Amino acid sequence: MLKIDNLEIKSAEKRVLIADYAVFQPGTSYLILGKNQSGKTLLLKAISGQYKAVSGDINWQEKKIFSSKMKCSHIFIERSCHLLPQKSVWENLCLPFAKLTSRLKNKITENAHLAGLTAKIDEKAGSLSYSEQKFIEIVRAAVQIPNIILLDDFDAYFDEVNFSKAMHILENCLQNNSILIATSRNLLENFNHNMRIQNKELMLL
Amino acid sequence: MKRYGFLLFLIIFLIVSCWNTGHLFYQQQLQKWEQEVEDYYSNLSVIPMVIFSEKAAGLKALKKTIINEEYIHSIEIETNTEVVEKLIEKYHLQEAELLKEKYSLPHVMTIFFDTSAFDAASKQRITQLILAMDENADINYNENLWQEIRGKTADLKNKIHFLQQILLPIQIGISLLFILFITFLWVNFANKNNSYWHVFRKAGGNPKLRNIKFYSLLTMLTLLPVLLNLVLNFWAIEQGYITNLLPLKWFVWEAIAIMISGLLARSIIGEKF
Repeated sequence: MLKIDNLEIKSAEKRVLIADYAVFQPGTSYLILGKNQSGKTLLLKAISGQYKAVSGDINWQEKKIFSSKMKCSHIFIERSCHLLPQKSVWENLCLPFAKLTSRLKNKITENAHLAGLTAKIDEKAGSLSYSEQKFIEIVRAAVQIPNIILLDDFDAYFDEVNFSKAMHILENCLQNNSILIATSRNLLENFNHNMRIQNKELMLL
Repeated sequence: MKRYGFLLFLIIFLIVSCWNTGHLFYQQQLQKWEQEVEDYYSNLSVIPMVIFSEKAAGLKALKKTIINEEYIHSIEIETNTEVVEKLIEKYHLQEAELLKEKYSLPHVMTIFFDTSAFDAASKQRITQLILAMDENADINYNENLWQEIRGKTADLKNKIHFLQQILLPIQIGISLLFILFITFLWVNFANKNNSYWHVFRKAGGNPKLRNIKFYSLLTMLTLLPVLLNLVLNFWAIEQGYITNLLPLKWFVWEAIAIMISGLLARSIIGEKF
């Protein structure tokens, strides 16, 4: 369980966002709504540990999320793509794995198929469209089943068809007790809980 | 990444090989000169100093005084009677035996030197002692040869001393250049891989893996080129190209230099890792 307590995020000494209390349960998806510059990305960066100008607590299983003993795996899919453009789609999908078992191979192949990447599996990742590149990142994350998946600006990647494909891929992680936290400017379907950042405050809708 | 790692190995291996070859030449030159000095000394050691004196007791006392000096190898004394008997026997002069009472021959002392320790000061000291014992003693020594050899060995000894003196500064200088160059290569190597590891981490890969791979590569690049050079050294001895194994501490020195360069590079790269 991910718990946020009295979290205050600052940028250039100014308060950007306050989250008094929020709990994120395993196997559940959360959508955080907010306008541009509302602090959605900063909140995800704070949860992932990339942004340090925060006060308050972010706890995983009642312990500080970034303490050395706490092993909370998380993957943060940012708006920009993080791929090796000169490598093939398959190599990009397999990138984080030291060893590729046949079970893992099947899982990647299955998810790549769901994402519609099968035909382009040997092509260079750099030659793919933005949404296809995002699918690579989502498949790669989903196969690992991390404790938390953070998706920034989820509505910017896909049209409705591809969005439901992506949610279908991520569903497997939710079934395996991952927490999915996505941000968006618009309300999206298929999320268990919706939250909103309004007047620099995070609130549950 | 593997290609760059191999390139790094190749560069380190070649530099270490050149370094060892230089050291081998150094060692062989040093050995050659030391052997030349040794040869000169062995030529000299077969030429003893022969002293003729009437005073047998004086010669015995002198032997007692100088026998323990480090530059003395051995001393032989022959009394005049022994000399005469030897001469008679050697030249079959039995008929002239009566003459030995008519002519008085001197006693003979032969001094063999340990030439590595025998220098001008020792020669002066022993000459003074002989003359103090018997001012009429006849000292027979091949002065010219001794002076010539002394000059040559002094020259060689100076060269050897010079070579030994410059070894450490040169070693340190080469090591520093080597460390700087390999550090530069390491940093360059790491920077080339930055984008890969950035994407790797963003993809959810183990954030510690880069460090683990870096240190395992560093260990491999520290040991492999040095061990290969050691094997090459043994092989060259086996094939008769060289006679001696380079000192093992020299290989340790090289391994330490490689290790330092890697650690230095790691600290330069810092948190970007």
